Amino acid sequence: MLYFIKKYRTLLFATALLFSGLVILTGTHEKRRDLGILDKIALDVTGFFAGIITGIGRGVSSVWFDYVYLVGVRAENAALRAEIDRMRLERAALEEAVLETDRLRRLLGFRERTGFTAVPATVIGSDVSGWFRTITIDRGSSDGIERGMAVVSPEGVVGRTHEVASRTAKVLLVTDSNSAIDAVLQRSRGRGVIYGRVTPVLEMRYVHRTEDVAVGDLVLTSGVGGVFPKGLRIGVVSRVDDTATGLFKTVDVAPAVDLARLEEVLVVTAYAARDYEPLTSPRPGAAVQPAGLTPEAAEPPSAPPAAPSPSPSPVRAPAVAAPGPSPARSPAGARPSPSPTPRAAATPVPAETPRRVSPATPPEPARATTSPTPSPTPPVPRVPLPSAAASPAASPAAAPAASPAALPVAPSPSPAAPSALPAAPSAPPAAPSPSPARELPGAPPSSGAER
Amino acid sequence: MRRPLAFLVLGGAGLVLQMTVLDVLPFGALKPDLVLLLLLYLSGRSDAVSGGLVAFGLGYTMDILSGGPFGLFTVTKVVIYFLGYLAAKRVYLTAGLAPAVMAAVATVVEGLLVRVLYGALGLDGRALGHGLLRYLVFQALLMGALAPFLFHWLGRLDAWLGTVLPGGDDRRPASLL
Repeated sequence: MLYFIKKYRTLLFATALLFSGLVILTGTHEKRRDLGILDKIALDVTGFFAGIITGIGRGVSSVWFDYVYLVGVRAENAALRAEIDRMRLERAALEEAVLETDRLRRLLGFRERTGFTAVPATVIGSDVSGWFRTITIDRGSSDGIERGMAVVSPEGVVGRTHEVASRTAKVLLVTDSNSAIDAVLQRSRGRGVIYGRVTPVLEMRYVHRTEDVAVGDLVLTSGVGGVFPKGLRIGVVSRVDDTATGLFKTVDVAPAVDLARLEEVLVVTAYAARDYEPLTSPRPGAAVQPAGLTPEAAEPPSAPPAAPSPSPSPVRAPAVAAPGPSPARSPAGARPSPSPTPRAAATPVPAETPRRVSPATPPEPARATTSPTPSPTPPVPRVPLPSAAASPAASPAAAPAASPAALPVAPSPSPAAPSALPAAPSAPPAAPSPSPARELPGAPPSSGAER
Repeated sequence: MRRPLAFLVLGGAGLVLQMTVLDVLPFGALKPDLVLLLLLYLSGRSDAVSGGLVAFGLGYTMDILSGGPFGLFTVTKVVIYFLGYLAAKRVYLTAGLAPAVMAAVATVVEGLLVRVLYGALGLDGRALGHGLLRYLVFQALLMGALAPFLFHWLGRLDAWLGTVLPGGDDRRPASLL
């Protein structure tokens, strides 16, 4: 026996290592929800060094661009001032148009659904391998980040938090092959699911052959699944292939966000369905909507009517900033556990309990003040996407919501919204919907296929 | 003991580089896998136990930092190390283009292994398979181009650590089996 072991010790050792790796792979790939203590430490330590290196790199780049590129800055400054003047005029016209849209919307009794609080984060690293598309951000559970939160940028959807350590978190990008987001075509309201690939181009699956899809169509989040707020830009249709046989078209989508140059992102910690209340006074400043949020954010046809507000306020209620317990998430940050799934957490994350907060129930207070884990560092301020609520010219009643502690992103509808209103979203008329956790070839996933 | 630890730390630094600096290189989706090259280097110049442990440790760390199924890179790195170990018995790794060829082949093998394991886990591998071949070819070329330089510098580091003679004499074990 000893002779056998001595003779084949290398082979035995190699086999043992390989077996250990396989045990880890098969034993934990379905439970990749919570990191172990050592894993969290490793992620934090690596994130620390990555943050240092990224900081040094940005410092060098900042010196370069702040000093070397200052030549001719005076002329550029004058040109920019002229541009600002022109844009101010343009903005005033847009604000007027938005006010008009607000009135129309109020008349129709539609509800504005979107508004979310977000934690800003800096990207400090990307995936170590070329196979998967994740980034590491410098915010973690001590900042109120939890697994499964939507991550956005002003340009659109970035991804969702995947693994969370105390001070860092990994974000699964939309381009990752494990990512799936329920989506809707802005123009035709056709539905599908956006999947990532090894290549940077996204794929929209389960778009029915009869659906009207054209190159250049905007693809938005449908809001189904409860992870991403409705109406965020995902990308633009770059290719449509309906030559293949089958029920569905093959649609390529170019991501709206340049993920290779991502530096800052927003982690959506909560978003609320809100009543679109009648205005008692004009809101001259409440006109700008975040760039990543399209008019369809407030587009109501598929939205179930929210519970009636017990006491309608004369102005838009900044629901997220209001104190009180949240039905979707307790003040301590506890959320219902996601249902178990046979698929890997690294891959498909099951559709989770919607993070939406009903307007009928006062939503939770700012997470920054209710962090479950006391942190020696000051709480991260919530800042909104550039939006109407943050505008200094917003209505007086909306102004208190614009405190730095918790600012809801309050997108305003744009004049383009009414044109999209009559079109109701249509699910693919094909085949019954299987569970999103396990797709069947050729069949569309059910609602809430986000993972 | 000093050498495996040194290479573990070096591999960790390589992973941080992969997360940060190497991500801004203009290679698109391609990204140099420094850990793979380090393990290939080690496969020809270390004994199976210490090299295997380094491969396991770095693969595990990579799993922590990556978004793939946990354990995926633990398995692939160990397999690549021992395949390199076997190949090193027959090929003089420091000669000519051998490191480049070996790195390119190892990249393709690891890619196929990832794809196979992905499917074996019952995951949806369609997205991973899309554009896989083209990705592997370009990634292999990139790794092949990098390998000679990295092997050269790792050799110098090895000499500095005193574990390998400057002339290139290594401590390759006599046989695997």
